[in-house]
Formats: sequence, structure tokens, C-alpha cells
Amino acid sequence: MRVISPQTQAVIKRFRASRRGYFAAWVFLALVGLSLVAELFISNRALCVYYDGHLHFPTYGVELPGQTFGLPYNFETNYRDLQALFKKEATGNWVILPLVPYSPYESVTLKGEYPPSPPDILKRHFLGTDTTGRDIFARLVFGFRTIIGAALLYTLGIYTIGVLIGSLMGYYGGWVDLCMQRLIEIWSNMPFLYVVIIITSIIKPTIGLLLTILILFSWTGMTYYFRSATYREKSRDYVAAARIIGAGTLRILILHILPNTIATLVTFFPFTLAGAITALTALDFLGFGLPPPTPSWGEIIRQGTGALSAPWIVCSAAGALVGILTLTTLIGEALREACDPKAWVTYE
Amino acid sequence: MGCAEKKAENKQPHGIDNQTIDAYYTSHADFFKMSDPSHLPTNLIWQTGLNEPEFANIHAPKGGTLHLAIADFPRTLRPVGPDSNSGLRDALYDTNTLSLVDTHPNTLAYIPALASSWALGDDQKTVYFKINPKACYSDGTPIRTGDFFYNFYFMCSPHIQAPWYNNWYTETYESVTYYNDFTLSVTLKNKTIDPVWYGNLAPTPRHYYGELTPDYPRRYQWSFPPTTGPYELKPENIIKGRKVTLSRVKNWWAQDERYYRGRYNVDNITYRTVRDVSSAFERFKKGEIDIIDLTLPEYWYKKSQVPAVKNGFIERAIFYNQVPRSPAGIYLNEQAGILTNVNVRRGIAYALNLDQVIETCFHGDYKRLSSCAEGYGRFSNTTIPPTPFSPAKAEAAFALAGFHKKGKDGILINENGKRLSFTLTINNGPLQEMYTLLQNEADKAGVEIILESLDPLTVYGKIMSKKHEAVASAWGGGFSRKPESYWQFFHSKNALTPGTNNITNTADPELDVLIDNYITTESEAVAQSLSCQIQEKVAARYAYLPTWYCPYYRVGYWRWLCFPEAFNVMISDNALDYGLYWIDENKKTETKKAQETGMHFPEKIGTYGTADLSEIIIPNG
Repeated sequence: MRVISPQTQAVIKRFRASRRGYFAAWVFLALVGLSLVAELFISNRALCVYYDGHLHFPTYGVELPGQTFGLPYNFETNYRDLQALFKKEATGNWVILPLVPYSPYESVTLKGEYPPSPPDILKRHFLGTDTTGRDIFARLVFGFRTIIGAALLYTLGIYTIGVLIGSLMGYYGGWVDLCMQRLIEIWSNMPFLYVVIIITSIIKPTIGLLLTILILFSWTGMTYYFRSATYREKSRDYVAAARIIGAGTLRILILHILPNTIATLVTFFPFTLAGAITALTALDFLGFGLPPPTPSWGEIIRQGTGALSAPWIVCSAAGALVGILTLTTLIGEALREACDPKAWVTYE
Repeated sequence: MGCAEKKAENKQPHGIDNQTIDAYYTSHADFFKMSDPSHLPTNLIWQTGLNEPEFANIHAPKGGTLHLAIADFPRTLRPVGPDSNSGLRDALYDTNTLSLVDTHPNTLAYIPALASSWALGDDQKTVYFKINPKACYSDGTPIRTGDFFYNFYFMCSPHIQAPWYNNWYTETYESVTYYNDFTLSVTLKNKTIDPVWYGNLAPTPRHYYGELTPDYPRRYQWSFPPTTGPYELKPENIIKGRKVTLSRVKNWWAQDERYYRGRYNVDNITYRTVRDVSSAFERFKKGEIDIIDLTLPEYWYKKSQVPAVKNGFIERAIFYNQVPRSPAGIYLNEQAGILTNVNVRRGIAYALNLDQVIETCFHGDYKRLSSCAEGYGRFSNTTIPPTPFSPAKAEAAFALAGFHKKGKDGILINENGKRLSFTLTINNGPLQEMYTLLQNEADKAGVEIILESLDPLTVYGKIMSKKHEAVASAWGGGFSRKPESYWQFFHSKNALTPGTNNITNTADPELDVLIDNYITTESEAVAQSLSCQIQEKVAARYAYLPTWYCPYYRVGYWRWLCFPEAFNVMISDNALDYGLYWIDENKKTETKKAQETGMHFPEKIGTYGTADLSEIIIPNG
């Protein structure tokens, strides 16, 4: 079994010592965790329904038509109405609704009221509704889930490609390095935004497509760091030793050199994440992102800037964006401090 | 004005090479026909259209300047060619050009414009016109038959870089005939229901353009040609990027003619560039702009609740117009996948909760559209009710098509496990959110709508190549007195042919017969009856699912801007259409004084127009 190396232990200790960053990291993890089970507190489906001696748990699983609960229709039950009905009938049946009893896709409007409507705690629209009457809080949370998942995949994608190609360039050097550098220079000069705009206006964008485009145009930045780090490391004795005992290129790169260069990657991680969130939000804001009705922060900000008379729309999304970016920046700073090589490596 | 270099330089028009143009006419002798008055058919019944009521206030005072805003300064002032579809186009050309005849905006009868009389030939394809000898351009040059010949030379020229016009003028017209300087006839390629509407041409000044050369777009980029209309744009009144001022043509030839008296009263109209709507509204509140559109619910209900309105300085009006409505709707491709089954299409019609969209997105102000040709008076079938939202009826229809089992997510599947799902292509833009409402509600009926929002040009390309399943579309287009689009929208000849407007790919032999008869019939009553039958047939196919229309326009204007008693004419699209307004300088002084002294006037909201369409009778050509 592999124990955590003393160096790593030191890094963790330093990270914990930075109170701000440590706290931010926990908040961030908690938010991600909560968003994964968002249906439990934000959903138009009830958490639990007791009807005629049977318990139903509609949150996850198949759609329960109204007829299941004695209602005269066979499309999905409206649990808010059902709760009101059960209360009125007082026959012992009950419904437990989530904290926010609305789905992010559902447009809730009452006769005589025109969306957007301001925050209303009694109606459980904690951040109000948008211009088509959908709950903003629900859209923010589900939008967060999409964007954070996408940002993580994006980070994984560009690190895998960037680290691999960068390390190979540094390790082989010479013509390989020279040619790859020129290729990367050309590639990184392609106007990324235009490519996205052209592609998404021709075909229907999906999250996978957007991610692929984003990754294809963003991996180049990482190669520079890993090229130079590998270049430095490969002349060290331990690499020579590994080569002598017959280790292959990939083995040397991944098992021997990478652990010694990984600190750069760790410190970049939160900033890459923040960059991905901003990029996806910007694309949605410009209308080249995910197709409607996918909940997304950029889309909410766009709606909000078009309806400044309803300030809660733009404030909610902008606030959430600022909040998440602040959290990632705090974590990033703490990580950088913790991984700072100058603090614990002595060069001879 | 200060910035002299920004003023447009007055480019000299091209030299006139009469030989080249005349040679063009000679080489196309079967199109440009020469004849003489003795060859005019003797049985023509010449119409003069002088028995219709006048609609302007003939006592309206002249004078004053109207201040307006445009969102973007046009990229060119040319009437045709690249970039000519600018926001100013309407004011410069579309509503500021007299053609041979005009449509009376209340009775829809033809009334004289450049032509003093006109007649319809026996073949239902040829229209004869006699030009009013008084008619002339703003530069004083008289208008003659040659200007209509030249119009074809101009519009068919590759140098104008306007394929749509090239196509329209070559595809619609068969020939034009010269009888004398004041008499001409226009012959159409196909019989149509309303030949005068097609034969009604506008002249193009040959003495101004002369021979066209490839430098046309650049040469005429910032020049305004002599016009037949009431306003002209002088070179000194163009400040590029900022402002243009139209001025009333001195001694406009039609100013005392019947139907033109009392119209176009203000001396100048200035258009200032104001980039966004909210800053235009701020300028309006300050009185720098005289009139502004308040049709959007947000502006009408919320933003116009300002002191100037409460104090009566700004008046508001809502006008229920009676224009033919754009056939906005969801077009299902009858030849695509599950949509080939009429029961599926009928089910989809029941699964669209359009009333909710109207309630949520349009403040409940819009109306349901019920047929493919609404607003054409007796040509419109008013007995077709809009399809109500009913998940139960939708499911019953889907069951007939074999979809009777619900899947895990509530979407219906058939015996082979095929999901009841189709892709709806929409334009990406601010309105796309309302289709998500339809999408969510359709779930209740067990049908899945997959939204595909694309760039408008891509959408257009996709539907023209007939590769779509369903598309949400609203056709624009000019005013026509009678439904003109049945053939292009629903005739089997245009089904599955790329580049045609039959985007539902409807191919129904019975419908074809009705449409063919509709186009060729000479009886107005038969045409009306056929028109109603066609609409009924189209409705029963459930391929075109009509959505909504806006039955009015709403404006706010400073009280010195005055309108006739009826506010505007029936077919007006906005308050300034037809130029019936005038500026009362006394009221302006009075209002300015009241603003200073803190006086006020009663708040005023006027409601005009009528919402009843059944009374409109479209008279015979």
C-alpha cells in the first residue's frame, strides 16, 4: 500500500494552514455535493406521497401520471396541486414537497400575473422567476451542476492532452520540440470564438460538442509549462537511472517525471476551472452555448440584462458567478502557496 | 452641423448611354414590345377609382419637423443591392414611392397613383395603364412609359447585385408593351387572382441611372435617386452615422390630387441614430423624439408610467388594424418520419399550449391565429376555430397513429418501441424561450419536442432544402389584397422541391385542384369560396399549425403630433403609415409652456380601429 509521501503531507498541512482557502475548498465541495442531489431539494416532484395506504417516492424513477393519485389526467402529477387537494380533503393522505417545489424547466404563471415576478418566500421562489416564469434558484442550481461537471471534464481534457504533448516535447527535444512548438503556435492563433460561433450556428450544440471545441482550442497553454519542466527534469540522475534499467518512455514520463512536475498542474487547477466556468457562461450569454431550455448562468444573465426592470434576474446569476469565481480563486491561492517549491525544496 | 467631411458628397450620376439601353430593349424584343394605341383592345373597361372616400384630414395644416429615431444608420441609401434592407428603407422607399396604382387603405379598392386609369385584359394576365400626364419625379422630370421599361432593365441587371429582384422580375412578367408615352401594358407569366397587384409597377428614373455598370453598388452607395413620393433626401441633409433629414418635395405633383390631399403634412422628418431602444425611450421622454412604439407589453404597461404621460404631455394610442396577418406558426414536414401520419400531426396540434404562451410572453394581448390566410376579409375562413390545448384529445389522436403506451419518461411509444418525438427548428434569438414553454407543455400529451435553435440563415437554408422535421416560422412579405400564397405554400408542384416555399411538403391532389381553380377563376365570389375551402383543407391536414398574431399597434406621442379622428387607416402597420399626421405648432408652444409652469392636461389613451374582420369586402380589381 502506498502511503502519502512526506512532501505531500507537508503540502496538505500548508494548505490546511491557509484558513481562507481551506474553508473555501470545503464550501466548494459542499456545493458540488449538494448540486449532485439537487432533485432532493429542488424539484416539481414530491419527495414522498402517502396515498391510500401506500408510500410513493417520485423524485427519482419513472413519471407518475395523475391517475396514480386519483386525479383525472394521465400526464405527470402536479404535486403542488396534489398537496393542496389532500389538505382540503383531509383524508389522511399527505405530500412532502422539496424546499423549492419547482423544476428548472417549468413555467409557473398565475392568471393575471405576468412574469418575471420578484422573489417571494411564501411561494418559495427564493430568487424570483425569469421572463418566462421559471424559478431562478432552480435554474441556477441545475445550471451550476451542468457547468461544474463540464468544467471538470474540460480541465481533465486539457490537462491530459497538454501534459502528455508538453512532456513528450520536453523529453524528446530537438526536431520534435521545434516542430510541435511551431504547430502549437499556429493552432493557438486560430480564433476560437469564431469557430464556436460558426459551428453552433450550423449544428445544434450539445454539451459534448461545446466541450470538445473548448478542449481542442485550449490545451496548448499547458504544453509550455510541461515542456520546460520535463526538459529540466530529464537531465536529472533519477531519469538516467530509470532509463538504464530499461524503463520505456511513457513509463519514465508518467511514473518518474510527472510526480516531480505535477505541482504546477495542481496550482493551475482552480484557475482552469474558473476559466472554464467563465468561458461556458460567456458562450451562453452570447447565445452560442447550450440550446434552450437547458438551465445556464449565461442565459440567465442575458435575460437579466434585457430586463433590467427585473433586477433579481441579473443579480442572482451575477452574484452566483462572482461567488463561485471567488471560491475557486481563494482555493487556487491557497494551493499555490502550499505547493510553492521554494518553500520546501533545496537545490544543491 | 460642424462636420463637413461627414456630409455625403454629391456623386454625379452616370452618363446616359441611350444606345446601350435601346440595344438591350431590341435584343429582348419579345419582352419589350413596341406597339401603338390603335392596337389597344377595344373592349377594355377603364377604371379610375375616383369614387372611394378620402381618408385624410384635408384641412390638416402643413409645416413643422417630425423627430424620429432609428436603431442603426443604414449602410447604404441605395434602394436595391447589397445592404439595402436597412431600417430606413421603409421611410426612403417602401412608403415613399408612388407606383402606378395604390390600394385604398380602408376599402381596399384600387385608387389612382401614377396611373390615372387602368384596365384588365381578357386573358387575366395583362393589365393596361394610362399614366397621369402631370406625374413627375422630385427633380421635375416627367414620368413616361420609358421609365417602366427601364425598370425592367434595371431590376434584371446583374450589376445591381440583387438576385431576388433579378429573379422576381424575370419569373413574374412575360412582357411589357409600349403604346405611347402615356400608355403601357404589363403581361404576367401566369394567371393570378389579382393581376393588377402584380402589374402595379414603380418607375425607375432612366435619366438618373442611365447605363448600369459593375460599379453600381459603390457609385450609388450614398445617393438618393429622384423619387415619385412626397419626400426627398437632399445630399446636404445626410450626416453619415448620425442623422438624415427627409424634406417634403416642393410642389409635389400629387399634393392636390384626390386621395393625396391632406397627407404628408410635415415639412421635414429627421431620423437620428439612437443605438438602443431604452435610450431612444429616454430621449422620447425628454421630447427629443416625437413618437415611439409602445407595442411591447413591458413598455405599454410599465415603462410608460411616467409623469409626462400622467400630466397629459404624452398621449397614448392603441390602434386595432386589419392587415392580413403573417402566417406565423409551426410548419410540420408531411414527408418526414412520424409526421407523415395525419393523426400524429393532429395530436401535435392539440399538444401545443399556445394560450399559455400568449398569456405568459405576450401579456395576454396577442390573439390566436386560426387559419393560413387571416385578415383577408371574405377571403378568410372565420369558421375554423383555433385548436385548443388538450392532452386527452392529443393522446386519443396519437393512439390512432399507434402510439398508445407511455415510456418511463412519459413520452409515448408505439409497438416497435419508436418514441413519439420530433425536432422543431427555431431561430436563435430572444423569442426562443417561448418555445420551451410549448416543449414543456407538450410533455403532458406524451410528445417530445426537441428544440434546435439555429442562426436564422441556417434555418432558412435548412427549410429550403426541405431537410427539417418541423420549423417555427413567420413569413414576412408585402401587403396583398387577396391571399396570394396558396400556390407557393401548399401546391404539390412545390412539394419536395428544394428552394420553394411549400415547407410542409403538402401534396394533396384535391387541394391542388382547389388552388388551381382559385388562381384561374374570374368570379370574385367563387374565388372567396375557394379560398375558404382551401383554408379548411389546409387546417384539416394539420401540417401548418397557426400560432398567434398581434391585432394592434400601440404608440406614445407628444400631444402636438395630431392624427385624424380615426387615428389611421385600416391597413396601417404603424402610426406614421400613410402620412395622415400633422404637427400643431400652437399645441407645441402650449405644451412647452405648461411644462415650465407646472400645468397639466388630462391623461389620454385612445383606442381606435375595430377588431371585427368579417365586414371587410374586397372589391373586384
